[in-house]
Amino acid sequence: MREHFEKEVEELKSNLIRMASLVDGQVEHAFTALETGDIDICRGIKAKDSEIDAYDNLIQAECENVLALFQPVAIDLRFIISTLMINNQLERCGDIAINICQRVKKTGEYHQLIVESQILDMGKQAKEMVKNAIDSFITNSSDLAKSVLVNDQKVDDYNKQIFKFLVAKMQSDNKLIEPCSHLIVLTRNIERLADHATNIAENLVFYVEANIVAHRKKIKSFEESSEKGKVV
Amino acid sequence: MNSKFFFYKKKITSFIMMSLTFVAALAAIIPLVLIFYYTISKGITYLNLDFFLAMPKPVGESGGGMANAIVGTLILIGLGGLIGVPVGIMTGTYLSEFGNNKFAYAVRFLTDVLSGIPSIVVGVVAYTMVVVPMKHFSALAGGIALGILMIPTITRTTEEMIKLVPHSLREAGLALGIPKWKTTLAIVLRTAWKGIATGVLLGLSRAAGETAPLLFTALGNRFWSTSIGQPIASLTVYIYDYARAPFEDWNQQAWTAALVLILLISVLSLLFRIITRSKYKTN
Amino acid sequence: MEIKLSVKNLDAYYGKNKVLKNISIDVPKNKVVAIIGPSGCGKSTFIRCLNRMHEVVGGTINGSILLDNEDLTKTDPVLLRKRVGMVFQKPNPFPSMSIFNNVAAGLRLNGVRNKKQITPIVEKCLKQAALWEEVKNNLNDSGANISGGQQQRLCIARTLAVSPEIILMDEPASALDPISTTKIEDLIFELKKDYTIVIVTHNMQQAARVSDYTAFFYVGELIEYSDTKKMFTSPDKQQTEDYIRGKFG
Repeated sequence: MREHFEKEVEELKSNLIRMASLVDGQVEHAFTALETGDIDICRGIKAKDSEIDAYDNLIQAECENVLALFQPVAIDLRFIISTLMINNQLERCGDIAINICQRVKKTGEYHQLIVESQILDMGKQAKEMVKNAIDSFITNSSDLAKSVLVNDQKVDDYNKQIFKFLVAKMQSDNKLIEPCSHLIVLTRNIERLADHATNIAENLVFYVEANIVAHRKKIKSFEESSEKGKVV
Repeated sequence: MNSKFFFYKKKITSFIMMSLTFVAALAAIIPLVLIFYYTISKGITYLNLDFFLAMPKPVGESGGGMANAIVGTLILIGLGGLIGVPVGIMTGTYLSEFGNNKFAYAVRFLTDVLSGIPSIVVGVVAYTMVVVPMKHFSALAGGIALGILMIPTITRTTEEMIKLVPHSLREAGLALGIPKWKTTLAIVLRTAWKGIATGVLLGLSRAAGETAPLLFTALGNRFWSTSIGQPIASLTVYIYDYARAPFEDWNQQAWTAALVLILLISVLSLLFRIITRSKYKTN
Repeated sequence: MEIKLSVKNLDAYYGKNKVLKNISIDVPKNKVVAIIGPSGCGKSTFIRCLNRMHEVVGGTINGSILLDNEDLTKTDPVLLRKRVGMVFQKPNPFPSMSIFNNVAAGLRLNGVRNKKQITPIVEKCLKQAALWEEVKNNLNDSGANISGGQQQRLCIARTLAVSPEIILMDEPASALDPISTTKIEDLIFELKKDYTIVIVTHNMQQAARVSDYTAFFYVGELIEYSDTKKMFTSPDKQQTEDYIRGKFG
């Protein structure tokens, strides 16, 4: 029975890794297009995305099977739960890659603006986070995953700065309102990509350490503030 | 081809073996049927109400019955049972519930030996132990002899029947905080009761059919007596005497006495069945 | 949390063979403690020490078992078994007794003769064991003539009748079909309101479902004892995790 289970789990994991490498490729393409302004790179990205969607469904079905047939516990159960959640996050990363490509198409003429606004630096940071998050679950390394968590703040900071920069640009020149709006959506996409990478990393930490690290800061600050409230 | 051959070979072997067991079963009941046939056909002629109610007639007079012998046999079985049944059941209970020691092993061995001792030897022993000190034959001596003869049968059946009671029932009793002796009495013995009753019946039937030990002890009595201190009549001794007698009339009565003895045991058997009949339907 | 039963440094032997080694467990009041572990790990021996049935089969023990701070190893086993009831793996109703008498057996054989006193207790216990509705019209049928699941609930009712404080259950559902198993499990949930329960089970899902705390035994040793949720999600010991994941045993 155990052998059966391990076979299923291996199958599941290799499917997840295949899906992850597809997503990784999509993200890579999107950012290359962003850096170079070369829209041709974006061709075929939509077709690839349906492959990712197929994996999404497949992995969900496999997880359901394993849960129904083997009723895993402890680390086995955490593996299935984190796989389900990582699967979901990866699928969204794929969608974001498409969104980025679409924005690149619409802002092709304003490549200089992209360079000036630090969007590329932000992109690099986010891309690295995605890569590390994927690597962390391929290698089951919670240390690597934790490094991803730390970087999330940097991307958020970039997001704020770029937003201010683009708003200033719009105020200075009416013609720039449209491209800048696109770029704001673009940065928003990159920020969300980083969020998904963070979520993947959090799930990996949950799987390896049996420890729920998501939302920890928020919950802590909420608890602290409510405790203060009690004192008052 | 080959497999078909083996198939038929198996079928034929199976048929032959089954037929053999059937023939053996038939052979086993033939003596029984013959016994019934002879006793009934020969004994039925004298079987009438008088046989149960009247006293034996002196030689030469025809008719008469064996009322004293029937009552005597019942008294003898009763006396034997009074001794054999409690001793047998208690010994059996001891052996199965507490019998994991050398003493019990010895008891078990001796009971087996006792069941193999010819009944006439038991009669002689009862003669020396009871008849000699009392200086005359008595129903009591006969009852003691029969009681001793019952003990091994009842002991071993009781032991085996109690052993058949699942251990889990004893545990259930003990786990309810019931002391061990009460568990044994109220749960174990009660569960094994039917089997034990069968053992008791077996012991009583065997005792009812004994002649040899009675010759030295109860002796026999041509008159009405229910006193346990006096010699007493019994069906078996009557059969023995009448069958040997040179009178055609007596020989016939011996057959009838045999029939009555069989009937008596059958009735006893039926009675036990009714008493021990389960209150509950079994599915 | 009030500790009902406290086992301290318990060793158990069969002859010279040590089958339990230095077991210490605290059982809180009105909670269910499940004992899990592979066959031969000593879990049945352990609960049989708790009502001293271990001695009945010739075993000996060392250490102390405190029930409300009273050392059970020094009290009369017959008296203690009224306080610590037991339900066995195979349903074992008394076949020579009716359903009613099965439940009444513990009372009657412990000296309660008054039928007026017994009848309401029997009814109450059968209700507690969720069997009343099914048997109330055939109380005089043999206790062995009902289904296996009903027999097991009858045995539970029989145990309840002597009003124990602790109920030990030795794989109570392992011989039953899934529906009867569910009924027994529901029953355990109800019973823990009034009793403290220690249950041995081979079925880990069952342990996870019914118990508040779980103890994992392995070759006579207590490997881990903690909150059931923790045991089945993130146990401290590798051995425990391997066992609950089905890697051995």
